[in-house]
Amino acid sequence: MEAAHAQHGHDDHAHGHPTGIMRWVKSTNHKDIGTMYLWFSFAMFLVGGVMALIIRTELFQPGLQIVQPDFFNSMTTYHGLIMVFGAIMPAFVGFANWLIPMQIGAPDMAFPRMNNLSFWLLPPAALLLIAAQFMPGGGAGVGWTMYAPLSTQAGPAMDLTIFAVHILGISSIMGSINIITTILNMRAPGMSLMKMPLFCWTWLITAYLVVAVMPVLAGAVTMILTDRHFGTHFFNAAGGGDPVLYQHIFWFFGHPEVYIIAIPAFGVVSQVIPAFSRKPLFGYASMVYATASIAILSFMVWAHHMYTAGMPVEAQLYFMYATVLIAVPTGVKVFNWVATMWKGSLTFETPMLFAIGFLFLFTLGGFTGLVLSITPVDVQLHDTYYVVAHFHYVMVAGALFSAFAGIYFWLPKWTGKMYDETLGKWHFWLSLVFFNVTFFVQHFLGLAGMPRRIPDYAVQFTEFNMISTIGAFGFGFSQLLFLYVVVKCIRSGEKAPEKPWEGADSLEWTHLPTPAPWHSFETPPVLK
Amino acid sequence: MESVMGEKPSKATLFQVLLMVLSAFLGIRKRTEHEKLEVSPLQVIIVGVMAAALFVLTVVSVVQLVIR
Repeated sequence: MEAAHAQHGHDDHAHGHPTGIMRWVKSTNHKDIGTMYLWFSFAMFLVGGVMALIIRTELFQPGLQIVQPDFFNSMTTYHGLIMVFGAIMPAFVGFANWLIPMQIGAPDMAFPRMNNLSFWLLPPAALLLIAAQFMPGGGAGVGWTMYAPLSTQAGPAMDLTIFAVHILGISSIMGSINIITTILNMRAPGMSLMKMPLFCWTWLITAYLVVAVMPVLAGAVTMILTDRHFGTHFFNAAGGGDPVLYQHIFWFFGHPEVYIIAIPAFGVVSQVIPAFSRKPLFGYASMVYATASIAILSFMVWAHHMYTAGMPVEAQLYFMYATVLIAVPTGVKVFNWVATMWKGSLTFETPMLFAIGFLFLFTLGGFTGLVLSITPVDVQLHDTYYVVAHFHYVMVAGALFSAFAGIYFWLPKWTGKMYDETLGKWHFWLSLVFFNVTFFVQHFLGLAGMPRRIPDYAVQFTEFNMISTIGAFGFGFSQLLFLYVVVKCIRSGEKAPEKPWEGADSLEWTHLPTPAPWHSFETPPVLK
Repeated sequence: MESVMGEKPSKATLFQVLLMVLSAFLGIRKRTEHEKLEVSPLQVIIVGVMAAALFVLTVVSVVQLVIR
């Protein structure tokens, strides 16, 4: 094995792996699998995006125009599930696959075949979620949170949804085990944990979160399944169960899940901002510690999602205080990113624009989160559009913008070609403007009392809803521009220089050619 | 696993590990302070879980104080 590797040396298109479609089906190469994750997540992003546009089209005017309420409920449900489990999470696993072996000086992921299986579990799960729409009675309109007793009473689509969630969970857990093992065991000599790029650290911590909470979600949906079909009464009050129990279990998964999405996004931004500030990341060790701390605290605040479900005032106070305290490590991170830019030699290429967009808008989403953490305020705002606005600032302007930053940043390394900078900037500005047109007004809708997940609304909400819908279509179509930029880069982009970003200093830029070779490090790199 | 290269850092005392975990809760830590110490994962996990329990107990007692 070693000898064979040595002989083939730097051959880009190495030894006898399958070609054509089988290259992808049977791939054990971390780069190919990373690419598949990224394309899959973009496809899901478009599917979930179309669902969002159906929602926004119906909400353009009060009254029911386009869809039936049942279908509307199904759209809100699967938009959420597909975006969270099908688009954002796989996108960052794609980044992890591409980058972690290169950044720590490893040849590949620790378990390449399991890596293949992790990916190939996703398409069947996605098909189940889409097929659920065509079941008798249509998709399960239970919300992405799948609260009991709604979910224990929903039609057969719910069973497909439960199965899909199981499969997605297994995929995520296997991916995370792979990431943990790779980082802990396969670092090049000299690459101590505290020398790793922050992206690797954020994924190491995220992977532990995934392993800890995905089984909790799997347990929750299994309990729904047995309540539905096997005569158990976990969530049935008439049988001695408790529907609020489901909410506790779900959010014990659900709150860390927020950080499973946000923390890798922090990692990407922590690579991009120093590169375009031409300074090392300010407070690297603080960032590591803050990330670990956010991860730990994320397990202790779950019930702030359910202040209105009924709980003693002591519990309300506890969850309020604990939630407010999470702002401290998060604030440390925002401070560190700003301090990294401070007196840096800044340039504003597309990745940096998206990273700054992230910084600005994610902070805004964090602040509205703090507003919602205050129990008496949340009792007013719970299940209104204020909440919708809040988490879209975190998920879209946070995670998605960071993913865009990462894609523009590493596209030259991945493809060996440069993307069109002008079009990239257009993509950024269109996304930024339309994102805010869509979601900023939703704060006001929520403050004025417009409930979420309802296809109709009172007439006084009309103007802001129209603005939001126009913004949503603008945002959606701007993403087609992104697709065009990426395809144009791959097909006919100019050849990228070896190191297009002078401030980038992790191993994939300093120790590997551009584009990255088929096998990253056949022999470990020599590190200072 | 950690100290593959460089001079051997000194073993951390319980107090130093506690300080480390507490600074993690705040999110502030100097890199040099970290590199001076050799800490085993087991130490961090045990002290971390205890500190987390302590954190919960502290918040709960503050709540009790407020309720009264």
